[in-house]
Amino acid sequence: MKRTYSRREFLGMAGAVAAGSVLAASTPVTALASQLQAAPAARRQAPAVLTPRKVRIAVGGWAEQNMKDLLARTNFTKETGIEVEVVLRTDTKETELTRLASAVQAGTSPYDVIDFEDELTTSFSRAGYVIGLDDLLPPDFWDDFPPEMIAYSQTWSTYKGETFRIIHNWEMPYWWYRKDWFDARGIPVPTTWEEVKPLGKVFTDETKGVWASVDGLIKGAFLNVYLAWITLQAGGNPFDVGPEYKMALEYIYDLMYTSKVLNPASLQKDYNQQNADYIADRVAFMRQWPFFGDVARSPENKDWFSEDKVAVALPPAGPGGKAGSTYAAAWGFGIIKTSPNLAEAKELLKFLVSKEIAVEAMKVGFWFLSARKSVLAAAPQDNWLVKQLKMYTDAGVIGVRPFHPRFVEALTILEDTAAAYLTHQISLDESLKQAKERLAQLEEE
Amino acid sequence: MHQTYARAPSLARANGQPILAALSKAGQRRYVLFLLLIAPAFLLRITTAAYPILQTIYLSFTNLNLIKNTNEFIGLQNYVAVFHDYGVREALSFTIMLVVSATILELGIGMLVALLLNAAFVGRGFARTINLIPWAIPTIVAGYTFRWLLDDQFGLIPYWLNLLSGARMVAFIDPVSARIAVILVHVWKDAPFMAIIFLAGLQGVPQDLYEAARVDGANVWHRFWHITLPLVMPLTITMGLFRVVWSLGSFDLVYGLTQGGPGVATSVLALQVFREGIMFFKFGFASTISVVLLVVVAIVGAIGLWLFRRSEVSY
Repeated sequence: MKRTYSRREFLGMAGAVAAGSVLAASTPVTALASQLQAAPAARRQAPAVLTPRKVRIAVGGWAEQNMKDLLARTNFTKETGIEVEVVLRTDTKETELTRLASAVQAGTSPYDVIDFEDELTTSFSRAGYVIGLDDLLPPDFWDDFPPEMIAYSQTWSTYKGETFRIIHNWEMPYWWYRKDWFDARGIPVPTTWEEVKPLGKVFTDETKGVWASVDGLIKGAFLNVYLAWITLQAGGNPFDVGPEYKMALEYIYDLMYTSKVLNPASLQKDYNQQNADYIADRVAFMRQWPFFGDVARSPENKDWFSEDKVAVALPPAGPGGKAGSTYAAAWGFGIIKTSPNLAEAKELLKFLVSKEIAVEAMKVGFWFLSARKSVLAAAPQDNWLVKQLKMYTDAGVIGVRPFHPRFVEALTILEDTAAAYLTHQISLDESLKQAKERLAQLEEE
Repeated sequence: MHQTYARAPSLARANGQPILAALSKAGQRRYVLFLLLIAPAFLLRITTAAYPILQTIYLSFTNLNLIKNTNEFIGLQNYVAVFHDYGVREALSFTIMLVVSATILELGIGMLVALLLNAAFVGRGFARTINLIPWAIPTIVAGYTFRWLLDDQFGLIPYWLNLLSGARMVAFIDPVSARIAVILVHVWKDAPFMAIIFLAGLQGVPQDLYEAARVDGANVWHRFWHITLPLVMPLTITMGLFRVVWSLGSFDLVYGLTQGGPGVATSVLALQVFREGIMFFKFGFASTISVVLLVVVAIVGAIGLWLFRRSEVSY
């Protein structure tokens, strides 16, 4: 039988339910409070339980297996009693920054140790998200590093005299070229900017879509890499917007539109498109990061690949001299300030950056390859990447990557203004003026 | 039969007395019940819509920056900076250009496709289904795909153009062609959705109106102009309004296709908010751009509602 309720009864019941819910909700709080008060006594009575020590390290997806293999191979857990969980960080720096910023604001962190890149190091160290590491390092630690890596670390991994990241991966753009094409034409590899310009006439055939050179210069940090590379060759830092930067922009413009060396469509390409152009036999030479060597040697390109097609030479030197012909970028380990397992994180970091483990890491995977003396000495000398790294290191062509304290914002300014000039939207003077004004504004903020 | 509805309690004061006091006992109870019943919905809207908007407006007057750890009230400084910022100015102009041109084209093409899909032909069901494929593709995927489709070396579109004209097209190194490319990809992506909505609208137009017009000697064009168009006009304005609002707030296509380049030629306001807020952590400044975006949306919305009221027809 259906029973109808009056409004008064309905409201009365609703009130009772609401009051009941409030009381029920408050009960666990009260119970929890009394439990907390009783906890010290309970702890005194309870038998001692050994809590396992744990630490979390965040690495990119590409390095996950390498890290797991390294930890297994070196018996870290067995020796220290600390269990390590390898977790994945996001691939993009923006997403990782967002994730960590909110965690640090809340006084916690999704991981204790992180493997991170240059851009994040600048942001993390200035925001105070990572701890200084100098106290963890033995006094002779830096003796194992070549001067180029020390200069690099002092610029990119240090803030107010304190080191916030210890680098393990240090790689640079190489100058790749088609040795078969150069040999067929009897042309030597260019060694200076001036020697590059005539190569447009030699190799470029616009009707066939063939260009002497190509690059990945789409906005979103791609263009900035090239701007920094060329400005460094000119002897300066693009973020200074000085005469060297002006010279660099003029040179790039010349390569694109006057000498017809560099395909202007590079401005719409990312690295995958750049590599595809090279492997499609549309390019005679290019600047590219070492991952291109893996792409070229991958099974899907085995019909195309030969060593003559992916030869590496030193980059053509600019007016700044050969010492700044290229620059390296790096990844390294740091510890999050709000790490829930700070002591364990410090132990893990000390372990990972030690000389012996750095060498073991390189044996596990080339993600841990750098010009660190012990690492480079132990590396297989017949490997193509090791040979290239050694060639560039021995030749002394590696400069320090151009730096700005607010790197991500500053590079966006340069990309906006440089691309506008290189696509004929504004004049060179206007481009330089805008870059200068906006960078100055950034410093005032 | 007449149906009577209980009157909602008036919110005005009666004879200068507070509302509750002016009501009878039964009226007071009804009023309390009314408040209780609307409270959940009201709270939900307050927490999910009003609070974020008010907080954004508040943040727009601060220099909140998570990296620099600043959070001070700075008055109108952000608003002054926004209109002096080269990137924001250019983004504002392209945003308006993109939203207006893409919406007009989407409405026009959507209507044409809907008229086609409304005609009787073999395979109509299949045609209606495949029409929706571009809309079903995630926008960011469409952006990256078209970057390859427009690639100077491997792109299908430059290849066809090369076959037809002999010219080699490089879409994204010229600001004009880059803007046209972004607008056309936008239209390609969203016009099919418009078509499906218009198709539903067309199917709601009474056939006897067309028959009466035919008897009166009206040709195809007259029937479309005097019957179809006026009857689907409210739908057109509603959909146009939705498209404008959705387009104003999205940047995924631009992000995948051009990253706002060359220079800032194809940058949009939403991309600027993303850059300033998520990449640079300048929440104060990003909030200011969001407020500008909000004002633009509000103006467009008001115009749309005004047009909607004017377009109402009865038959």
